[in-house]
Amino acid sequence: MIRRIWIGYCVELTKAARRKFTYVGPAVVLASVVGLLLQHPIGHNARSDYGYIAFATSSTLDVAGLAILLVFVTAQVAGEFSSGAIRLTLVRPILRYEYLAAKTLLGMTYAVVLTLLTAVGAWTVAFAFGDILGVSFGGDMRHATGEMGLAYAYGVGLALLPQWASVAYAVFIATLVRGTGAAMGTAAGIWILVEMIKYRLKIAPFLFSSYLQAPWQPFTDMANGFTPQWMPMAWSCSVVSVGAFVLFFALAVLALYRRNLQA
Amino acid sequence: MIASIVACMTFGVVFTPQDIDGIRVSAPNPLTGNVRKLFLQTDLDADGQTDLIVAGEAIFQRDGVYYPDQRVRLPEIPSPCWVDAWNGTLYFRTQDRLRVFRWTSGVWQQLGDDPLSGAHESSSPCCGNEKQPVPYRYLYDLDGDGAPEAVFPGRDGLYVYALRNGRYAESALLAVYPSVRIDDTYGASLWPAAQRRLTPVDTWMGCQVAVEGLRVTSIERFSVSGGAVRFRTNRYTLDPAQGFAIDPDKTVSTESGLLPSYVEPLRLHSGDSLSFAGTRVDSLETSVPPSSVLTTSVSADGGTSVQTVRTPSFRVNGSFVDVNGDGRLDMITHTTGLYGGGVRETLVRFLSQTSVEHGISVYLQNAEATFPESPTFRKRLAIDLDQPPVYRSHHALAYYAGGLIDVTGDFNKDGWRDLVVRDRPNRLAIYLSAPQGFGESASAAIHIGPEEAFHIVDVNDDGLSDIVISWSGADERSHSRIYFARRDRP
Repeated sequence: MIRRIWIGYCVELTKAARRKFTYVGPAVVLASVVGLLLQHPIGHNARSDYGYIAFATSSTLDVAGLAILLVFVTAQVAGEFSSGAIRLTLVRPILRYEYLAAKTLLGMTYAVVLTLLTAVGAWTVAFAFGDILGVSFGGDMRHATGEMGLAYAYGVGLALLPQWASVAYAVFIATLVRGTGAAMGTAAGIWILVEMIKYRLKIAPFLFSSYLQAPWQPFTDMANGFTPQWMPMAWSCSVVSVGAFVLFFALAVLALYRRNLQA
Repeated sequence: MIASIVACMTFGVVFTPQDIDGIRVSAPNPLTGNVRKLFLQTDLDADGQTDLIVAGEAIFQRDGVYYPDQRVRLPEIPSPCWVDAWNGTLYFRTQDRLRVFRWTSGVWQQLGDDPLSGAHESSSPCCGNEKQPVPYRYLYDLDGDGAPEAVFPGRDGLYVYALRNGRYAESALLAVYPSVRIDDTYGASLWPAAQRRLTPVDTWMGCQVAVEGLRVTSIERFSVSGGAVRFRTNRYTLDPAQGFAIDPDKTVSTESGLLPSYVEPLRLHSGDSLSFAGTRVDSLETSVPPSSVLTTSVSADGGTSVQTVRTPSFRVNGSFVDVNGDGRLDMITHTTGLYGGGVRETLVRFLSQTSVEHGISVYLQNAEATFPESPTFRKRLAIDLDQPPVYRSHHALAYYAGGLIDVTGDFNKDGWRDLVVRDRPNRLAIYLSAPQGFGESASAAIHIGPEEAFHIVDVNDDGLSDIVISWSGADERSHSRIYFARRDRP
């Protein structure tokens, strides 16, 4: 099973590498990272520019990065449904859930790539055009450079969990809706609808979408001279994201198994 | 009048409401959260119960209740005048006289009427067109002999009037003010010649003066380059044998280190060294949406070292309160949950969330006059804003102004300051505190109208803080309802 999933994953990687849209995502996130300098200017002024790094990273991944990730994943899955390519794929010795696992792994890989590109881009811009020093306020050194780097690394690791849950969500929607455009629209529409009502229904703490930027909050707080608080955010983010990932992947497998691919 | 006796909750504190018009307090001090009573408390009829002096009237307390038919007019005194109370005796200071009255056998008996020589030099008693005597504290028992001295700020210093042979007379003029300085903010142009002017030189002086027994302290603030400030403190000792004149041999001058511009002198502990503390609200313009940052700084060692805490929060009242009753002010910081979670999440929250997570952190001051790095205890609250923040509801604006949370009251007299939160537009929740922190759930709840404001003050002087709810009526007069705290069960 693992071998078949791995082979399927490698095939998906190859297919993704041939698509032009795959390269649009990294270009957009890098452009976003640079473009956010307009909102958060930096300079060589002996003041730390971690604020820019925090702002550029979280804003890029939560807005442009998220949109690209959803489009990429839904296009990967729904596109094969609408074109009928999935029927050819499943002729090969691969089970339906293995096929979905390979797709999901591809989406997770894409999320990692976007995140790492955003991180590298933000730090590079800050190094090139700003100052990377310790955070100090009122004459006191609050957070040293190493401490900031470590917090950022924790943020990268933690931020991948809700992004991977987003991948599973997109895969699930794509298995339900025929047609790439419809799948993208449905995924985005449901997302926006839930976002607008989640606080009124008081369900926000139980939705993975509430934690997409939360892992960057401690780093942002440290950049602003605040005392960071990882808990209970890290715990909630992990549990909710992993739970959502498992739920959406299971629902996607169930939906694909029940689906008549000949229709 | 007693509207009703309502037992709001049990668990050691019960609140009894009573409408008493005329109870007014000042706006809270942003640093300490304390309000200044704009009424007086004294036992006028010597029955062992504290009576009140409000807006031209005295209200007698009978069996723990301030009945409306127990109000009497104060003596007719030409306005404007200051009124102060001392051991059941009222002192009315007009522009040039000091009149003393006492309630005896159901009438006001005049005990004295003394001219205040030199009083025309002192500042005007009232700042507005008050027709009623304005409660103001100017009586101090400097020498501890039981008879108060009257101290008034004047142009050249503090005027001290002492009782001699049964009459008040000027005793000393305390020259405790710093010398005036030339205001150098006006520059003179030399060129072009047409713009040359003879600029009048402005001089000014500003200081804070504290009177504590025979010690008078004046504190002067200097701005230095880089936006920092420095404070010079002069401590004077009065000699009662010399008519309260300053003993020059005992005058001590000290100067603080460089401090942030927003700090001010504050007595954080009983030690001799002066303390400084302050808060500043900044806007993080680079965040989306621009968020508010509260910086709290404190120096408890005379300005040698400064401890600073930054939190995402709006302006709050009461950043330094003696939470545990040990005589040392403790530091309280606030954290709003309005901005956390990133750009998209913040925008969604502003558009749709009707409540906000609010955190309170208490840093207890230790015996070395320092504060711990991390809070001693925390409290998380959910505050209902009535509408999403984007609508800027009345309740949300009160939250931004720091008017929903108060940590200055001690309702059960256990020495620990209790927490009052207006967590809904129509509810005040009271959380009693203990060494482990504020209670998990509210111990009492009080109804409050949407247009009403609340303050914490001990109205009946029984040592238990009371809750004053005030509002403006249709007659545009200020009304107030007092929720008297009682420790016994209903």
